[in-house]
Amino acid sequence: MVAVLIRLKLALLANAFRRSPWQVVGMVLAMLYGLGLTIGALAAIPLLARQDVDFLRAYWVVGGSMAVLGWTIVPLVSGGADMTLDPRRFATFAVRHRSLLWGLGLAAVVGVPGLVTTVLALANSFVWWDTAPRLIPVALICATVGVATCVLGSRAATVVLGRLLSTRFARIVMALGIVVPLVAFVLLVSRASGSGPVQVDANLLPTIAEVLSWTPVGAVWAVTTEVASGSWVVAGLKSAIAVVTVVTLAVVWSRGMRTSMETPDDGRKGSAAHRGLGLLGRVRTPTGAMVARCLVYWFRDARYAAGLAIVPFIPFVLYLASGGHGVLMLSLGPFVAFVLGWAISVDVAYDGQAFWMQLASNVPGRADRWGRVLAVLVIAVPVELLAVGGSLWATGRWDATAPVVGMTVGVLLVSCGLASVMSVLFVYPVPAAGENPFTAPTGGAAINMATQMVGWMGLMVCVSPVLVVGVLAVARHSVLLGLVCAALGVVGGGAVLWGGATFGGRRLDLRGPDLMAKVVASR
Amino acid sequence: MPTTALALRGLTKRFGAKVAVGGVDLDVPSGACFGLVGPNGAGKTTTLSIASGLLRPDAGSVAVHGRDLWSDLVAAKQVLGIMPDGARLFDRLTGAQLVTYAGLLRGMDRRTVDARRDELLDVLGLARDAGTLVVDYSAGMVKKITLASALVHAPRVLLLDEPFEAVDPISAAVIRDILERFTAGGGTVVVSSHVMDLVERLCDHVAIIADGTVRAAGTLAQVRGPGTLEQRFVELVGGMPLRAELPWLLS
Repeated sequence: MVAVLIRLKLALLANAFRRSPWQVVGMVLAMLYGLGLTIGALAAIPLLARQDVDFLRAYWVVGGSMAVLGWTIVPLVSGGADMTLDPRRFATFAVRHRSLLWGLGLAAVVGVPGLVTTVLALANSFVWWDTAPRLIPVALICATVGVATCVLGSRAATVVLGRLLSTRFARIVMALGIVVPLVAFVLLVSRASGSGPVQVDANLLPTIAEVLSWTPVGAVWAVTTEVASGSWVVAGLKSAIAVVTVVTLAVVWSRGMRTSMETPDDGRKGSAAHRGLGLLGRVRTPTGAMVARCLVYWFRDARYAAGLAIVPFIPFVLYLASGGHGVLMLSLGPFVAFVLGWAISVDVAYDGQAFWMQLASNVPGRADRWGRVLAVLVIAVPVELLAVGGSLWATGRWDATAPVVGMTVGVLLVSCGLASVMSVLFVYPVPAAGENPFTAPTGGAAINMATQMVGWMGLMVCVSPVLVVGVLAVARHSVLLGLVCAALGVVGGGAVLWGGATFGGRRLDLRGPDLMAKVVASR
Repeated sequence: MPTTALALRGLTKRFGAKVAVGGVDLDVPSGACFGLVGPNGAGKTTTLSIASGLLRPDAGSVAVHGRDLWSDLVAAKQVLGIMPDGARLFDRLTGAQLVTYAGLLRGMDRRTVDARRDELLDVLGLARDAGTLVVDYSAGMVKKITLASALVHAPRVLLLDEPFEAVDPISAAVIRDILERFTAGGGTVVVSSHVMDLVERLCDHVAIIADGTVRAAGTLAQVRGPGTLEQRFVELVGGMPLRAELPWLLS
């Protein structure tokens, strides 16, 4: 069974190539990236072999934890978990649960990320070649368990969170998920620093590693070095944490898989009747109807909700990345603006084949574009007020209000404008409404990446003037530059938005049916 | 003197190497109920998609009441009501929201949309489920709500792909009744189906399509000749395989 599933996965990957040359481009890019990463890390091994045990531990624990977190969280952030082999597709076959688990688990390693992780984890074990060869078997076992943690983490997260989100109960969970971390973060910052600049210990890495090595994500990567330094008790405790983690994840995944196979059509669990028309009851124009429909989707469709769920993680990432320089926190506003504004770059793909209704009803392209943009702005404005206000308060840099607002507005408007163009030019496979929002259809991640890169480059070019002026204004405490930045953000961003919406709208008017054909073809 | 409601000329569409539709010519007279029949993969859906302005043909033209569809989509689409087969809808909306949305997108004024929506939901037996999300509808209810969305702007030509699939007998009778009254009032209906009985009962004109070409077209009497439509269909489209063997299935 395991061999059959791995062969199936390879066949699916090969067939994906046949559908579109973009798949090949994306896959080649992914491979080059993976290869670069692998070579870089392999080249570091001889150097590592000369370092002391404490350094090795910090390096491994941080690197390994990043791998585990990456495997677990990236699907949640990018919508890119490779669910080529969705367990639900096996529901109709008489496959034993246990062999399906093994097969799908191992098949998950087949692919660029799986191979890179495995090769790096195993190769690092040979650091001990000269100094302590007897540790190599221990290291190899730990590496295997580590890779297993990665794979199981990604599977468990996708099954459990995906299931949670495709129910409409998700809205409440989402709201909590957004509010709670924000509050926790604000409390954390205010306790740590009052209203002054955020301070972080300069000697951060070993401290973080020490903490991580006691958590489920990092424990396994510390065991070998603890054995090397003779701390048997600590090694024992950390291995226990690692084993418990793997077993727990396996059980969670196994349970989740069983549930999803036994009730395959989740997302269709009858809901309470909705009285009245909600927002749609209050609008009168085509644009209004678009705004109302999009807003309903932002809250009722797990794929959009999942996008919103990233937002509260951004301040955490910035906090960790800023390593003592609190000023970086000021980029919170622009980051959030990017995430929200850019979300509508997949809008038409998310509509999927339902897009026919718009095509059939002669909506002017302009109404379509502005409807989608206004909907996202309705959401972005309050979120940004919080984000910008919060970041100014946390850093104590109220003098930087003008540039930060300018950069935020600029990035938001430019993202919306370019996204309005992107979504009428490129359509790539996305999960359908009601599908697990954390899955990418076969090979989707590859095209997704290639298109997104083009878009991001365009975005960087368009926002660079306002960002450069903004950063200078913040760095030099310049009031004048700050005002210039604010003006640039509002005027320049507005111009890009207007241009993008106009171009996108005209393009929709002229080539709507061709866009529809792309949507149909991308399924 | 009946005018032509829908005229298709030389429609051609290929998907890669596969020719989905190869030179379809059809004339649908005003006030007709026109049945489009054909086996699976014959090109019915492709033909209807092109005729409804959702899919651009490689060659050929479509005229709706004499106006060329593909050179002036906006004007032509105003008189079209469309129901694609297996169409995905904005199914995170409730039934009532969806019909409202369809009406507002067409730029109709609020009060007309509200009145017509309630009437349509009522007639189609969806009033009790108006507040349920479309994603929770059964297949037949989805067909009905799609029909409601296609009717809300009072079109003159209806293009319906498999409108009766998965619809229960009572709702089917209701839909048939609506369509009959619609044609009696001068409207034109094109339905595709592979249920011959239904087409014979409902339609006055019919075309048989196979492998992307029209094999026969005209009034029902002209096309079916002396026998039943099904006999004529099998005759034109080609016989069934003589006998399926599968001996291992019988033990």
